[in-house]
Amino acid sequence: MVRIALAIIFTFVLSFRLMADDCTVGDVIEKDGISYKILVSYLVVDKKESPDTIEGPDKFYCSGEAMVIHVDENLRDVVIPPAVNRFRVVGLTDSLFYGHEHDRIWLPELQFVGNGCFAKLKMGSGALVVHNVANFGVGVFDDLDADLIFDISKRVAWGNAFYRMMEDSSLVQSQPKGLVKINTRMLSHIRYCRVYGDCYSATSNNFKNWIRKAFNDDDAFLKNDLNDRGDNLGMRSYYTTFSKAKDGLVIVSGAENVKGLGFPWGTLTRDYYRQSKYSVVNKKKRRKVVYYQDFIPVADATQKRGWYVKFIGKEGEVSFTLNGKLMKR
Amino acid sequence: MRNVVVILFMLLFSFPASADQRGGSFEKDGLIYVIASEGRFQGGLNLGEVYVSGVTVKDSFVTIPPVVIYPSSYCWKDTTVMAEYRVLGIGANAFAGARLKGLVIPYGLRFIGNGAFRDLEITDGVLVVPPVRRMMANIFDGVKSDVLLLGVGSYVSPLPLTEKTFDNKDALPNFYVLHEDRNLIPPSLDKRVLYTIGVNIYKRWLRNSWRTLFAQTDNYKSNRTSSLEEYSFPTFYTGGKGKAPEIVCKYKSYRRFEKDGTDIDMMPPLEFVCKNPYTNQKDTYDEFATNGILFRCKKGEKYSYFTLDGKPITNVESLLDSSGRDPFGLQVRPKEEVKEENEAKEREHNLNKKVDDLKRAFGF
Repeated sequence: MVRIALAIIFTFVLSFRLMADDCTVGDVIEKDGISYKILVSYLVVDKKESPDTIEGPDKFYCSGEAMVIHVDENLRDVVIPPAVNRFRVVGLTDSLFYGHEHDRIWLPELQFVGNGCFAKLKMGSGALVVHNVANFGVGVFDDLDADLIFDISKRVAWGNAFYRMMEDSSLVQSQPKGLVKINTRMLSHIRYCRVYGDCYSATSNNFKNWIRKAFNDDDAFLKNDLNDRGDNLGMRSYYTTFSKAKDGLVIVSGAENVKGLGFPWGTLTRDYYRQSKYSVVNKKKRRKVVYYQDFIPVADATQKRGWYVKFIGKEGEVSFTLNGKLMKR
Repeated sequence: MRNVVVILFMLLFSFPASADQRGGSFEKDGLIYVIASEGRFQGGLNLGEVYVSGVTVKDSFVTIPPVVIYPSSYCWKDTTVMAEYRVLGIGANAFAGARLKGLVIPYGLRFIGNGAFRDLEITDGVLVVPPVRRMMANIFDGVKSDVLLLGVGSYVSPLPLTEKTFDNKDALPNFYVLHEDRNLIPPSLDKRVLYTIGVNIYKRWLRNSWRTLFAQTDNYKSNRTSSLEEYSFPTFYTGGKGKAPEIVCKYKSYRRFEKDGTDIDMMPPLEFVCKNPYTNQKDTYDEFATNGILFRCKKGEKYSYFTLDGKPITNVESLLDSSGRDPFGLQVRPKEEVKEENEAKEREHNLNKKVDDLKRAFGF
């Protein structure tokens, strides 16, 4: 009886989250004069540290999605990376560059750009290059004092930014001061958008020259790969046991849209309707997938192998041993 | 009433073609025109065709009109006889090295010659080039302004834009076409020289380049015949339709001309194809004229006369007046011959008179 009581006490006292890089939603990361706010956070593992089996809870890292909320006005060149500290940069907040003056801005592929984000922005190089963006806000390019180059390389998913531009974008209400340029091959993507009638287009070499000029022929900018989403984001799929073992759990971490609340970005940066999501499969029951919102690897000295996993979902907290057995409370 | 209309119609369009005036040139409104062909109206106004061969002004806004009214080349000394010349095209090197504020090219030209815009500088706006039936080599070499190619989609096959048109790639300006026309550019053409623009930019450019000349693109098109195909002269009938000879006026050896294009700066002369139901024959003539009573055709050096229903008039002498001219004023019989004949007649008359006087004197 005493031993059971001690075990319970140890469980509550010694169980804590051991993670190398602990970040939660709402935290702000500052790096190189740019501030990022974490919008969604979920756990991943490092490929190099845990190629097959995770040895302990300290091998998990926070990853997720972040939004740029501040850029230092004094920065001459602004490079917004595709990812920061394992967090993918998914959007820019409202009025991020409002009234700023920068020489060059490098942007990654984004899910959203907030209202009035580039309004009254002055560009030293004379052109702003915007890559694939899934959704634009209102008045994004109002009085942009530069040419605007849409570097579209694919049909943007779900939001279809250019279609939405017909209704509420600044490209309808007011135009950028400079020229709007686009790749000829991608014209069909904006066929039914008003920007179609107001833009210039060029094929391959000429279009590349436009971009080169926008970045002042700087190879460091040009080599920035548009599709680079960051190699350091980590593995989102992992096993609690050796991969070839017959028991254990397969956990896939990620984020999902919160249905019923509208588009994932809500009214752009005021709300963000996405949350972490873990899909868990028992190796012995591969067809049954259970989803949880939170995942907590727990160190427990009472366990033989030293740690176990805990999930929080609709049904509350559920804990499993590493070999996939449900732990009784 | 119907006959009156037919006669008026005939008077309006009946003209003999002449190759004599081809190659002559004149200047009007800062442009030099070369006459490609001309036909004379019975009614006083002549019809003809010219092409632009040069420009005499600088730093000005130049408009090439679709039609030029100028004293007829048949009688340049008499400026009261005007001719209406249709502008066919722009000759080789016509605007080479020129510097203009703007240049308006009419819709529906037939050709632009080699190097027509070489080193041309448009200081105010862009060079707007409408659809042209044939565009020769190196037209845009060294042009110092942007070039907007209009209506690429309205070109008929074969497309006039060829690789030769954009031959010298090093000295080419930026070319712009409409977004919609981007797939209509010939695949052989190097698309690297082309940019495309949206329709709103296109309208803005046209407004700037044409000023208030053409408020709408439609006005621009309707300013000229919309067809880019063969410019057809009217087909007319000497009498009632279906009964009388049918006269079709067209270019001589037109197909060969279209095929090789060697004579681009000089359009071929006209010819008249006459289907005569009276003789049941189809003849081709170099010249045709009618005065409402009969019509005349010329083939080689020989003139033929017909009544309006197509019956050939064999006794031509009966048509000539005392001076040897036909009813159209043509000197058919040489003046010397007529003079000699008249003198011979007069001598004979005088001789007969003397004989009569002598007879009367001697009591015969």
